[in-house]
Amino acid sequence: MPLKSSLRGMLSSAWLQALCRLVLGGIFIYASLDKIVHPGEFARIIANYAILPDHLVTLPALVLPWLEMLAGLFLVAGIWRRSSALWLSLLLLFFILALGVNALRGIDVSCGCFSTSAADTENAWILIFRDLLILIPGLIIVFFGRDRGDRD
Amino acid sequence: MIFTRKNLWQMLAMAAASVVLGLGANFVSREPLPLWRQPALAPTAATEVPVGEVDADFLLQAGHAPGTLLLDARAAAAYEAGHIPGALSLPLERFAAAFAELEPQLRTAGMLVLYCSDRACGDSPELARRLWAKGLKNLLLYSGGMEDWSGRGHAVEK
Repeated sequence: MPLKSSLRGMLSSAWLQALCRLVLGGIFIYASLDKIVHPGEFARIIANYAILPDHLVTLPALVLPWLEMLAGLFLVAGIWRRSSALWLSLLLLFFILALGVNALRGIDVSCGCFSTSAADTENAWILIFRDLLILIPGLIIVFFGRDRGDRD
Repeated sequence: MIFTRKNLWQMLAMAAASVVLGLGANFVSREPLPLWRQPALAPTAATEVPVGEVDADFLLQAGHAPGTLLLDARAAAAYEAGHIPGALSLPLERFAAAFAELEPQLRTAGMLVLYCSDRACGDSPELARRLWAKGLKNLLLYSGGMEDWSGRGHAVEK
C-alpha cells in the first residue's frame, strides 16, 4: 500500500520527528518553569481539581514539574526520545482525563479562591482541546520515532 | 510494542530523578511545603485561633481608622486585579517574604483585618493562624471577602 507507507515515511521522517520533539519538549519546559518556582500555588491548583485528597497534593506538586522539565529537556536534546515522549503523552492523557472529569461533574476549576493567573479562567473544553493538540506530536514520536541506536 | 522494557526502565529512571529533584528543591527552598499537608487548604484555623468576624459595614466605618490594616491573603495577581481600597497584599504563598517586608507595619498596627476571595477560601483563616503564631493577635476576619465586598457594590482599588 504505497499511500500507507508514504504516510509512515513522512511521519517518521527526521525533520518531522525533530519538529515534534522541539515543539512538545519546548511546551513542557516552558510549562514546568512557573510550577517549579511556585510549587505552593501548583499544589493548590492540584487540590482544586479535587481528585487527590488535600493532604496528598504536595508530592505531585513538587515532582510533576520536574518530570515535565526533564522529559522536555531530554526530548529537545534527543535523549531517550520515545521514553520522554511516552511520559509527556501519559501526562497529557492524565490532564485531559482530569479536566474532563471536572468539566463533567461541573467543578469550576477556575474558582477565584485559587486562580493565580488569568489562564485559569479558560473553559475546560478549550483546555482539553489544547491538550489533545499537544498530544499529537507526542504520539507521532511514540509511534513513528526511533531512538538513536535502535535497529529497524 | 508501545512500551518496550527499555522504555519502562528509562521512564522509571526519569520519575525517580524527578522525585529526587522535587524533594531536593523543596528541601533547600526558603519556604518548603509540608509533604503530607497542603497548608493553605488544611482545615483552618477559625476554630484554632480565636479571631473575631467583621462584615463589610464594619470595614466601611472602621476600615480606614488609623491603626487598622487591611490584609489581602490572596495571590498577588488576584490582588492586582482588584482589592479592597487600602488593603495591603500579604499572599499566603509567599508568606515568609511578604511578612518580612510588612512586619514593621504589622507590628505597629492596632488591628489587622484579613480577607481572601469568599467564604469558601481558606487563605485568610490560614493567614490568621500564621500571624497568630508570629505573635500578632489583634486579628479580625472579614470572611465575606472580595466576593461579598464587590457584590455589595463597594469600591474596588486596582
